[in-house]
Amino acid sequence: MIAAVKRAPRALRATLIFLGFAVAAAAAVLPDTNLNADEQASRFLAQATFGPSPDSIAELRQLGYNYQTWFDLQANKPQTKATDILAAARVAGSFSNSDRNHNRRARTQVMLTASDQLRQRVAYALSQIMVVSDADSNIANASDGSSSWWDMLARNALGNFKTLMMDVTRHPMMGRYLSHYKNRKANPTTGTRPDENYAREVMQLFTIGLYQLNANGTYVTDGSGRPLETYTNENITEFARVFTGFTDESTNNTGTGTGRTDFPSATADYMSPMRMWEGQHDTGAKTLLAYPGARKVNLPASQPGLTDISDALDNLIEHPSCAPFISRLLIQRLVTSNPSDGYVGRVAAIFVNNGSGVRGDLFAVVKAILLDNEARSTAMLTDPEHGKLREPFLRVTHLLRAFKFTLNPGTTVIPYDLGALSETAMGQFPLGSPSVFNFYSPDYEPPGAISNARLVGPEFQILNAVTAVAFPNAIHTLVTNGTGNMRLDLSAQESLAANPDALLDNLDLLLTHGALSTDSRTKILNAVNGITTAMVPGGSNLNQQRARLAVYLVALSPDFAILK
Amino acid sequence: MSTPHPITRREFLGQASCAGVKGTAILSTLLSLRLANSLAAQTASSDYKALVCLFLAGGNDSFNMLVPTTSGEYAAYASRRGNLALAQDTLLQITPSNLGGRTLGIHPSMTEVRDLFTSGRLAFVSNVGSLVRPTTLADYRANRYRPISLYSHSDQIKQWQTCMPDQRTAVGWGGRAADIIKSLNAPSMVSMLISLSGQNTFLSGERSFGYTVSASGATALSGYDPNARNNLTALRTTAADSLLEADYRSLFEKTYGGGTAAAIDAYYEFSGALSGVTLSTAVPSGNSLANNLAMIAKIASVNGKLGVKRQIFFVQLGGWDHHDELLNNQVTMLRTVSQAVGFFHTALGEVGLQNNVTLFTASDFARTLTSNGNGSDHAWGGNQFVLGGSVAGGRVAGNRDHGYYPDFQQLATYDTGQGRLIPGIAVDEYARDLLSWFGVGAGDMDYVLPAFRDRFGGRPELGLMASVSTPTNPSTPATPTPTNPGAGGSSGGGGGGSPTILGAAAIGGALLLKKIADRRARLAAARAGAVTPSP
Repeated sequence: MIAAVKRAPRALRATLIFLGFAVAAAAAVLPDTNLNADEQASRFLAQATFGPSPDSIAELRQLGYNYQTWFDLQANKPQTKATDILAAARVAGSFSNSDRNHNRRARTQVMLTASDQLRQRVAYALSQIMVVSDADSNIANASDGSSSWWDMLARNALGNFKTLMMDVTRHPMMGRYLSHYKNRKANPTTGTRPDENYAREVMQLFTIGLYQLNANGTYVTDGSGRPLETYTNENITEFARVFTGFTDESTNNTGTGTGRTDFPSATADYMSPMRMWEGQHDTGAKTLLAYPGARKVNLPASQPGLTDISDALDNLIEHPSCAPFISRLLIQRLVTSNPSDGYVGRVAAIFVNNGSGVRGDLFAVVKAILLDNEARSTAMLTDPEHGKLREPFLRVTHLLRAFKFTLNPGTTVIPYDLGALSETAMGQFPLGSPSVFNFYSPDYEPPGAISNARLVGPEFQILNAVTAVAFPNAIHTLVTNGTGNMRLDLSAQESLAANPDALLDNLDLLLTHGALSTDSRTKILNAVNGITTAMVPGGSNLNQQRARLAVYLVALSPDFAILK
Repeated sequence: MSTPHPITRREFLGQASCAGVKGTAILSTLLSLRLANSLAAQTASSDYKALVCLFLAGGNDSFNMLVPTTSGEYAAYASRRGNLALAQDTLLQITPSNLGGRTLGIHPSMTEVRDLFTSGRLAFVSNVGSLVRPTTLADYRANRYRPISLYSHSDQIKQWQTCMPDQRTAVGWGGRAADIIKSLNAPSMVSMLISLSGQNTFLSGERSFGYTVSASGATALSGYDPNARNNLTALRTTAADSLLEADYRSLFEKTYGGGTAAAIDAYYEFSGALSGVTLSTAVPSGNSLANNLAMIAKIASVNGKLGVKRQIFFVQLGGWDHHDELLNNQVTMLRTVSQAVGFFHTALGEVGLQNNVTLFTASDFARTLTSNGNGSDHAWGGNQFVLGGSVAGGRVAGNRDHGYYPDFQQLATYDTGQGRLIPGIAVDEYARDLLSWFGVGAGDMDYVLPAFRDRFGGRPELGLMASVSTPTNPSTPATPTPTNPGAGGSSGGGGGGSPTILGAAAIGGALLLKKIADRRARLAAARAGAVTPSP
């Protein structure tokens, strides 16, 4: 039909198009919903890890598909650290000063190969909520600092939200990025006052958001239906006074005499939590957010700086908006762009109380997200509003993990270079956001069908006419030649390719988790079966060409691009 | 319009913008397509106009870009800014023609901007920002007319681009202008809305969506060729087309597939038009903004090949959120801007379009006049500039009652604290002058700037443009209503974007429509509670 239209005389086309659409509208393409246990495991691993692999699916099979057990095994795995990879490379003499590329490759290695996949995957989700970016030269030039930031997120990813927020607030990379490193108390002589940067974003982006939320994430509204804001600029000014005094040293070890108030000079420390220099901490009383049940609304004068910080974070984390705000963002990163109010509410309830009276138990929250019916039910596959655009970076990790890959021999310095699968082609790179607002807004509404349905699709914000072509081209390069130091090993697929149906079954399991639509499967099979020996280039063979074409087409297909 | 390959089904669809539109709608679309063609034929090629929005993301501290230098005013500025004040003798002195002899100083890095101002090609706009209505300090203190989430980056950026600061909407005034005016353009897969910086609100209309290119243009899909026959490429091409264009039930699959297919196709027309185009004007080295502006100049230069009478461009330069290291960063970043726009104006001269293209700047907000030690924090009204041969240059536009440029000795009546200034004029007023020049008629202004007439309509034009041509009436069959998105129909023209994702009507299935309607109602209750009725 399509081919006929292309080659038909121009005058005929309108009629054919009209007929074509009438037919198409009557038979909308739907995912396959008949998933076997392996395929369901694959779908679960696509949400919970950097992508399923034959091995990780087999592991779940051996566990009797008991996801609960898998969670416990994951939580008990030792943390893989990007900073360890950098340190080992330094010991091996690969470099003396790590740069941005070394850091990025080390983290890519962790994400692709670490066995503590759940922890690392949640760290990646957190890195898009509490954003620090190596697009900022202060971060890019901070030795192993950005990887130390990553390891900090991973350390807390299955821990407690309060500890996470203390570590986020005190991390020297966040101090650089949102400029509360060496933030001074007000100076009446010079007329300066504390920097408001961190105070604003810790509320707007990291804990409670702009609008008061009900327990299920819907807006609290006033009498005329307008949402109520969570804080005023006056609140920000007060919080800015809290976040003063952080630097590298807490003691005046360089000594310029008593009465010294300004920060001591010290070697910059890019890894350890920032220390409190009380001489520049605003010790006056402070008024924080008031809300029903609020604790720590009024901080007394003369508290130690770190007590002020801890109290202020409690004031935010116990705010009614925090649980639904963070829950919705994590659901969006892991499962679906438009969770139902019920889904947000169920997860937020676990955030408030994990069942043992603990608030902010992220392991419990992550389990609640991934085991919820809205994440697991195969009925969701055909809900036209369910799912999310798989981030380009995750499409890359999913492909590399689904198949075996080899590293270009001869590369010694942290070889995980993704080559053409670049920041430009993907429109993103982990820890490379253009601003503290991440690669995309959680409320981005792509124009067209999604926006018209008043839904959001955050990841569509980086799908544009440049990335829509550049990204498939990079995948094409990966599949045909390899790119950077990565070579895809499709030998398993090639061995199946004599039977194209078996090849498609394999790709459906690994990439589309059993949900590849019959329609798309047929189109890809037609292409694969259409390859003749005459078309095969020298040095290749029929099965290799079949495998490559099939992998590329599945990777390009909407069936794979949308994680459902 | 020349394309290097036979017309494809998708291209035809794109030209008619009729994907998913059935029956009589297809006929009316084809009729409006003919209408657009005839209008295009009637309009002389010299009628080409383009607007370029240069967005300085992060909030440029623009009271250090344009500084008062008359003696008492400079002293007040220096006192307010403390350690952020620029030394008076370093500033590039100007005497705007409309300030009654008051002088101002341009940031020392911006020599090109100073020269363009002096030669009458550039005007400043002072203390402009997002306003719900003309706002006094009393209004502010009583919490009246405050833009939503004032002082927040994400909200202020959006509000600059929508001119709807009391509503949460993602429809920008550049996109709305295209909704109205795109019928002037010949049908094309390449939208009249072109972004050098990815997706943005400014270029998102109700039925017009932006097309993104990079500084090096557009890219072809590898291993894809509509002309291929009997080889691997032919198999890949046929399969890719059919996979991307299928009628997916999932809104997400549909949006991804349609958007990708449109991008693949637009390449052919775009690259065909740009083929062989070069500029001899030297691009400042290491200046990414200048590289982007060079591509804009090239695209504008082939307006005839693209069949467009009107285009709107968007280009962003980020990194202006100077809570820290303000002074050092502004030295380099304002130099980047100045060199880039100086280059752009010269390049437009090379292609003979200086009078046809108007560049204007925008930014989240200006920053607190007071110092946080080494930088400044989020504020509100700020300074911008407009550049082009049609600009009434050498002036500073602004609120007449505030003397156009605020008198730093008299800020108390509109300073909300720490030097966060209530804007003297609204972005709507800034946009009105630009859009009038662009050709949006008074009758269509209510659609493009829905809040303007009611809230700011009584105010005089800013006088940014030297010659505001009689608006070319694009004879829109009917002004679309902004509250009824995605109704399906579309005028022809190069509004383009993603023709396969026009509206819910394309999905099919009564059940689905009901489900969407239900969801809309629920979301309307839950979320859009914020959306007040259109003014």
